[in-house]
Amino acid sequence: MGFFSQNEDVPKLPPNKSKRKECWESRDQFFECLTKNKIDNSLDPKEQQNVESNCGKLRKEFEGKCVASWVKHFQDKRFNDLTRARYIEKLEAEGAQQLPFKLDNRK
Amino acid sequence: MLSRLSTKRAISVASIATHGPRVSPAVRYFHASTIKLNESKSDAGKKRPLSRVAIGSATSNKKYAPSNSIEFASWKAVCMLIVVGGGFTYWFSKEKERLRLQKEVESKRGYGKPLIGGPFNLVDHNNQPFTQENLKNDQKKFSIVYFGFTHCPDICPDELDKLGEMLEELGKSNIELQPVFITCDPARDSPEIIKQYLEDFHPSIIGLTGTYENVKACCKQYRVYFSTPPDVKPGQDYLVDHSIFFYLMDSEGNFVDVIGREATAADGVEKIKKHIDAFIPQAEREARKESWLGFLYK
Repeated sequence: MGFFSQNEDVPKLPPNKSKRKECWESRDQFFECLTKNKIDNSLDPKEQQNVESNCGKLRKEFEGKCVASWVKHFQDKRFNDLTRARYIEKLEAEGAQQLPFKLDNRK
Repeated sequence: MLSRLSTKRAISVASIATHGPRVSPAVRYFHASTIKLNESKSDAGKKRPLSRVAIGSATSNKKYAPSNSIEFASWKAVCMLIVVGGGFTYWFSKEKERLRLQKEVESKRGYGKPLIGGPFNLVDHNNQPFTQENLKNDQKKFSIVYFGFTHCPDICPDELDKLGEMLEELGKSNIELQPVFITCDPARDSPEIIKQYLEDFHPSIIGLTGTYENVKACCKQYRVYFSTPPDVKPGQDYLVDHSIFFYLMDSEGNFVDVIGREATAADGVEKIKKHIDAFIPQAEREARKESWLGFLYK
C-alpha cells in the first residue's frame, strides 16, 4: 500500500476520547431536533430545506465537531435504525413473534 | 435409627398410659422391685432383661434417649443434610458445566488446522514484532483479540470501553488477560497513532498493525471481514466496514470462544472466567485421554 504511505506529511490523528464525546453530544442534539421535526432521513435531498430551516444551527455544530465520514455514517445509521424499528413494530402489530434466538445483533 | 426412635416413642406412650389410675398397682409393684435391685448392686441393673425395666419410672425415659448421644432426626441433622447435599449438588453441577465447556472447546478445536486463528506477522504499538507466538505462554494467560480501526465512529470505542471494563473486573479476581487490538485500517493506523488511541481505553491493550498484506492475512485467519472503500485518495476521510467480535484465545494460541456485541461486560467476564477455569493444557489433555480413566472424557 505504498499509495497510502505517501500521505505521511499530514498524519491524520483519529479523534480522541474528548473529541468523540463532543461529537456524540452534538449528534444527539441534532438528532433530537430531527425527531422533534419528524425528519427521518436527514440526508434525503428533499428534506434539505426542512433540515436547514429547523435544525440548521445544530447541524452546523454537528458537522463542525465530527469528522466528515462520521457525519454521514451517523445520519445513515439513524435512518436505517428508524426504518428497522418501524418495520419491527409493524411486524409485531401484525402478530409476528420474535425468534427464540438472535439472528442479527446489530442495533 | 428408625426402630430405635419408634421404641422410644412406644415406651413414652406406655409410660403415659401407666400413669393412669387403673394400672397404678402394677407401677407400684415395679417400683418396689427396682428399689430392691438397686439396693443389692449397681451392675445388676445392666443384666436386667428389658421386660423388667420399670415402666414409667423416673429413669426409663432417659435410658432410651440419653441427652448427650447423637440425635439423628434433630433439626441439626436436617440442616446438615441440606447444607451437605446442597454443597454436593452445587459442586457436581459446576463440574458438569466444566466438562461440557471442555467438550465444546474440544469440538471447536477440530483436527489439523484450527478453524479460527493461526499464524500472523504484525508489529505492536512500540514497533516490536508480534506474532502468534506472543499469544502463547505457560502461565495459562488467555488473550482477547479485537479487530477495529482508530477512526471508528461509535462501535469500536464502545467495544473497547467494554473491554476495559472487563479487564478491570477480571483484574479484581486476579485474572490477567492479554488484550490485543488489531487494526483493519493499516493505511492510516501507524503504531504511533494506535498507541495514542489505545491510551484512552486501558493501559494493557496491545495495538497491532502491519503492512496491508499482513493485516489482510491476519484478518483472514480470524475470519474477519473488512472492506476499505475502493479508490480512497490520500488524506481522505473514510470508514472501514468490519466484523465485530472479541476472540478469546487460550494460552496455547488456540481459539476458544467469541464474545459478541450483544454481550455486556459482565456476560463477557463470566464467559472468560468459565473458560479459564475449564482450560486444560494440551499435554495434560492428551495424558488424560491415554490414562485408564480416559473413557470418562470421551
